[in-house]
Amino acid sequence: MARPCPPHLWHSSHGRANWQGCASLAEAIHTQAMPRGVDGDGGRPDTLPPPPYSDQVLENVLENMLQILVYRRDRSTALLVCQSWDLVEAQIRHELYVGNYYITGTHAMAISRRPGTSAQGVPLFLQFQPGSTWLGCPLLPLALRYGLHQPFTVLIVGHCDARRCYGASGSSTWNCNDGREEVVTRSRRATDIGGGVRQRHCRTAPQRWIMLWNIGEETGAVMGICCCSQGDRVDLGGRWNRRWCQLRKSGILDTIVMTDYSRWPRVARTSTSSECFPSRPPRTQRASSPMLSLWPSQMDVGISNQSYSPASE
Amino acid sequence: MIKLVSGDGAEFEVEEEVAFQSKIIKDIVADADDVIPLPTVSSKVLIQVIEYCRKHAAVNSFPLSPSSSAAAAASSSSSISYSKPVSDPALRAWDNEFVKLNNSSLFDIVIAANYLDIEELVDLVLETVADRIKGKQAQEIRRQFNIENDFTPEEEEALRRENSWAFQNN
Repeated sequence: MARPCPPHLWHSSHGRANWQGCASLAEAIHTQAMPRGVDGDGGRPDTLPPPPYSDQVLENVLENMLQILVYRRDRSTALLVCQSWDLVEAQIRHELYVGNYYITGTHAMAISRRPGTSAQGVPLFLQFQPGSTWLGCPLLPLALRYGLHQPFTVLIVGHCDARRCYGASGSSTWNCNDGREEVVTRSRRATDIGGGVRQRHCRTAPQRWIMLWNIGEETGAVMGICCCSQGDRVDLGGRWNRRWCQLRKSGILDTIVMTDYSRWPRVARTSTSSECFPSRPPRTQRASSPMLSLWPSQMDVGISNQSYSPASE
Repeated sequence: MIKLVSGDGAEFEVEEEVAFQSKIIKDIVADADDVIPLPTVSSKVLIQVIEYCRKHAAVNSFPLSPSSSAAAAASSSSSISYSKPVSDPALRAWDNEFVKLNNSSLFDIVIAANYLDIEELVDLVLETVADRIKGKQAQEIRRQFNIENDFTPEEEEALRRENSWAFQNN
């Protein structure tokens, strides 16, 4: 979603508006404040680098400041301040939240969605552990079957031992055999989802691996698949059209991090606070869920033993 | 001595250990002369930055003060102790006084510190600003930092609705 020129971080004592992300102003300041001694001889540096008033610098300053805010309440308040703060906060968010997910495993998951997307449909998020079953049914085939029909699919595999992980995209599986080597075999079927899935990053390391996919340029949706050990830090460095993923050290294990989801597909249903960290959706929403409607009612029992409470209905 | 020239032409001569609190100046001096133009830093801001660097350079250059060295000696068997800026209570107190500035001044300082790569000063200012934000409502933050609300009412409402979960009991 195109945003207007972001506003200032805050005003300086000079009465000069300190804008963020405004290229014209940054250029003007840069030109005005060109350091002396720049002779263009390409020789040794005789002055400091160009002035810092680029949008990137200001953004980094704000980013560093917002990262100090550790409480969700403070961070969520900060993003309400103005668009530039919202933009920066979105890039450093490490807890994400979505209200409409269908399957989660035994780990709390928080995924957030952002408005302003052109994509239609309902995202599907899956989280499970390798080999996990529901009522004796392996999760993976179910994920394959139903994930195929979703506009995009996010699969989060929890607790991989870095020797072998399982995941699924579309109707195929990929395997993670060794964290040190090329570990991912891209799903052939995944390329058919959303008009072309492309593998963007695949960095591996012992005890951790991450995949980042872009699902179609037209949707801008990013699918991340992550798996890491607790406290691990994996950066998928750099930016890619402001769509990049970071897995930051946080108190939440196996949290998928999507730092830009401004084009995240909008879903019709608005979440409620009760869905913050459930391990499965409330029953009352299952009727509207194309996926959950396929689950037998007896799956209400034993799917999860974490945060879902039948008494809440 | 190193001569720093502010954007408005003021010249400041500082000792090397003071100037070298800035990593970028340290690097540049190694390759160039001792006159460093700082075109984006006003003299007013540069005075404050130098004040900070001078204080921290002094603390880092000398053993701990008697009060803090006693505390350090209790926790360390080393015969000579040099303080880290954050570990010296006196310096910490001085830092706290140093950042008792308005937000505009803090912004100017953090931009300058970021430019000069004075990491400790950047952290100090950002922590101060973050402290001023904690627990505040968005409207209070806007007022405090003189930030214009450029959200449309619909956008703001949508953001509030989407993030309402954060304001529930964590």
